[in-house]
Amino acid sequence: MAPSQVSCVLFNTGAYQVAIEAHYVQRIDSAPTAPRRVAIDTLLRLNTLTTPTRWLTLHDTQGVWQLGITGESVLGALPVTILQRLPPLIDAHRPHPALCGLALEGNRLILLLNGALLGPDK
Amino acid sequence: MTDSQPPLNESSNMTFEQALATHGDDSAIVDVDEPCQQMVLFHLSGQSFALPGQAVSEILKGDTPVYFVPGLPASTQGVIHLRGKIESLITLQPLLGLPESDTEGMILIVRAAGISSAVRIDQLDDVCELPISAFKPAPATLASSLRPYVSALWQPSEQRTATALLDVDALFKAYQQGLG
Repeated sequence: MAPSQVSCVLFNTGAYQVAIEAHYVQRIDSAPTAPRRVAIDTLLRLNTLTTPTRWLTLHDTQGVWQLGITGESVLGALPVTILQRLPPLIDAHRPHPALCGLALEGNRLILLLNGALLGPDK
Repeated sequence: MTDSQPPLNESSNMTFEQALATHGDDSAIVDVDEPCQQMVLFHLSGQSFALPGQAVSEILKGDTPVYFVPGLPASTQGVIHLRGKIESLITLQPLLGLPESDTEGMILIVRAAGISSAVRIDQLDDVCELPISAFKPAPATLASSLRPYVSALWQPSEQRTATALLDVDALFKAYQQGLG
């Protein structure tokens, strides 16, 4: 039987909630340790530039890098039924190639990021 | 009663025929056998537009909750939740070269070119059947920003402003190419 949910690391940035598949996140630190790093606000081209207070450690083809977030992150699971691809006209203008879908849980919109397409140089 | 005649002012005298003709399109005879197409007529930034009825599947209130998505251009307001499906919400003004509106107006769900999206309009005017012959090709004098997206014009009388019939396929393709 296919799994009915996706394990994610969930966090807020500005007015948005963001989810990354949990298996892409190796660890979470309170201070940056990797030379390659970027804040989520910068990555998503948000106007709200905040100072990261947590650093998610991820891995890409060039090695370890860190994603800076503000506030707490939680490990959670999103039901498959609420996950949707980006509508075509949003896809055409998406701010980052890693933004792969959206989910609506109650009145909360969650941005789904593909960890394989994330990186400080992308 | 007396035999005196009321004063006759010839310049204002008119026959019934002439008087009724001044009503213009109200007196026009509609050929019921003429092929018609359903149109959704609406206003955007003070201008009158139409979309083919077959392209509009729903009309929603303008205060439908909008969820913002970061990094989108001004023409894309975000997404709305429509019975479990997430639809993009766009405005046409940037692509059509029109000034932005600050009214909530209404929202049309538009399907074309294999794409579905919500489109915010300022005001819904009518949903009606119009004879296809009433639509004339868009003139060369049409504003260059409108020309790629207007397939025809409908002007019921010289006293009324023309309504531009929008080519939804062309609009959506332009948005997909990153225009707007």
